[in-house]
Amino acid sequence: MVARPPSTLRQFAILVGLGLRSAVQYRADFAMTAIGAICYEAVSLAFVGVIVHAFGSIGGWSFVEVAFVYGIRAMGHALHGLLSGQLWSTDGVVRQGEFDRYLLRPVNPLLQLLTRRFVVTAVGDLVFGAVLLAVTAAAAPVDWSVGSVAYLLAAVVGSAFLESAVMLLIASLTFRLLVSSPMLQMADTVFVTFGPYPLSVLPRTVAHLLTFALPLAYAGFFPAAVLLGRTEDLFVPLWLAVASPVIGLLLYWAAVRFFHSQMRHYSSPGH
Amino acid sequence: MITLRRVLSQVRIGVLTPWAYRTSTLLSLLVLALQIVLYSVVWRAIYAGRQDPVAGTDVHTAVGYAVLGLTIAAALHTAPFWSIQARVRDGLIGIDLTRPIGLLTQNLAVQTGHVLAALPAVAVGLGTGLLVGGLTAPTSAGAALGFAVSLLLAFGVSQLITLLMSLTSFWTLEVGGIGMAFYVVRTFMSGAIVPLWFMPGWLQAIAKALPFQAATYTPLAVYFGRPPGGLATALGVQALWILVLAGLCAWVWSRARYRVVVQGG
Repeated sequence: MVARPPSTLRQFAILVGLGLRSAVQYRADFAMTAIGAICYEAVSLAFVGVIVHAFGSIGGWSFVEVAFVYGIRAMGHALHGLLSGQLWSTDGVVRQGEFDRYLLRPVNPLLQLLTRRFVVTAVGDLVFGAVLLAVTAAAAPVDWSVGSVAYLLAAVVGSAFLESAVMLLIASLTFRLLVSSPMLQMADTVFVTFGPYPLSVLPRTVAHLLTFALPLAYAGFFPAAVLLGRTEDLFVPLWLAVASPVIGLLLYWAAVRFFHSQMRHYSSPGH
Repeated sequence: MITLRRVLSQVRIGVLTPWAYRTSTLLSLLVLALQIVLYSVVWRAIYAGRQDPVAGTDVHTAVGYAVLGLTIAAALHTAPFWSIQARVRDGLIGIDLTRPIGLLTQNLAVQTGHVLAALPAVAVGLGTGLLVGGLTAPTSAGAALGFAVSLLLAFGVSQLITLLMSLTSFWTLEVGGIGMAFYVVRTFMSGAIVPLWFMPGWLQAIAKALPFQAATYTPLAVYFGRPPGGLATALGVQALWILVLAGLCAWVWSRARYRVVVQGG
């Protein structure tokens, strides 16, 4: 009788745990990196804060409402970092042939890529995201019920998977192009710059691009608009905005499939 | 003469190093162009439906400020502060100390080289600015001249801030986290993206007490005809920061040289 291998989720947990244990060996570095990440997030929030302070509101959205969009995005982004932070090293892993090893081990190569090191910045992001989401959710004009809290949690998870899906799709190109970090950087810049704003203030073309081409809208704006009851600000049918968490999961599923299809184009640099 | 040639050799190294990693340097240019486009969209969206200026700033100034601010930051903020850190960690700092020019001079020379190497960023930044229609001429000839002088002083302030930051690596071998925090605080407090005049009073007070604004905000404010405290004061504050930071660098270095631990090698 052969023992069944642990589930993918359990494998992920075990490998992340291992990475975490080795990362906390360097305690000072761990703390400083996490604090650095918090500063990074805090400064980008401060930017939005300054704008809303100066302008009073953006497109009719008050400071609390804008901050709530930011809160969902920040928490989603933190979970995304924990799941997908290692995608930034895909370039090196493929080019230097580290991927050879992943193919030899009896664990899914993607899982090995995602867990090759613990993403320390994600710890700072998680602390920041959790605090910000809790504060803004409490302050936001939402009638909280079991249903709306559940939707909020689903939206945050969906946001994490959505951002991860975009990054994973781009990282998959490494197998053919041998390079992906410039594209990752571009996508990240767009996410960071537009992420905190109610996208309804943008010109329609840009808003649609951020819904259908680089689907940022599902990662913060749509769920926030649904929870705040600001459905008149939506520029897509209501059901599509409500479905944001599902769309995140679907896109991630598609991205995983795409990764595995592109993986076949890997050619070892030979070592 | 010989000293000059030695210093220039370090400047040359500073110019060549970033272009040895061509992909990442070209990428940073691409990201700069993208950022300028994105910020122009964001500012115009924020201003949409508003006729009156906000905090004395209309939409043209806001977009123009972002174009110039991002461009200047991309050229001046080149911060190779990891270089001293990496060399301390690898023990290579020992070699630097045996060179016939001082460590501070060496690093300032290399950093200057990095700024020269980043000059294409100016072309890319201004070019993109023209494309998005966000570039406006300075308010007057005086403003243009003041801007040039202020930019030169900003270069000095920026270099010394970077140097001071890199010297801390003699005490902290690991600067990843601090470096990240430093980078964002510097970008924000220097007014590279959001002008100080949008900030609430208390935040402006903090920003004005820090040296970062002298490295970016001051020349920009001069350009848009709003030098903080008048042109003479604005330039004077920048010059003062150069003196203070240079003094700090010299003092920190005088302490650091006793802490040098050359590892291995």
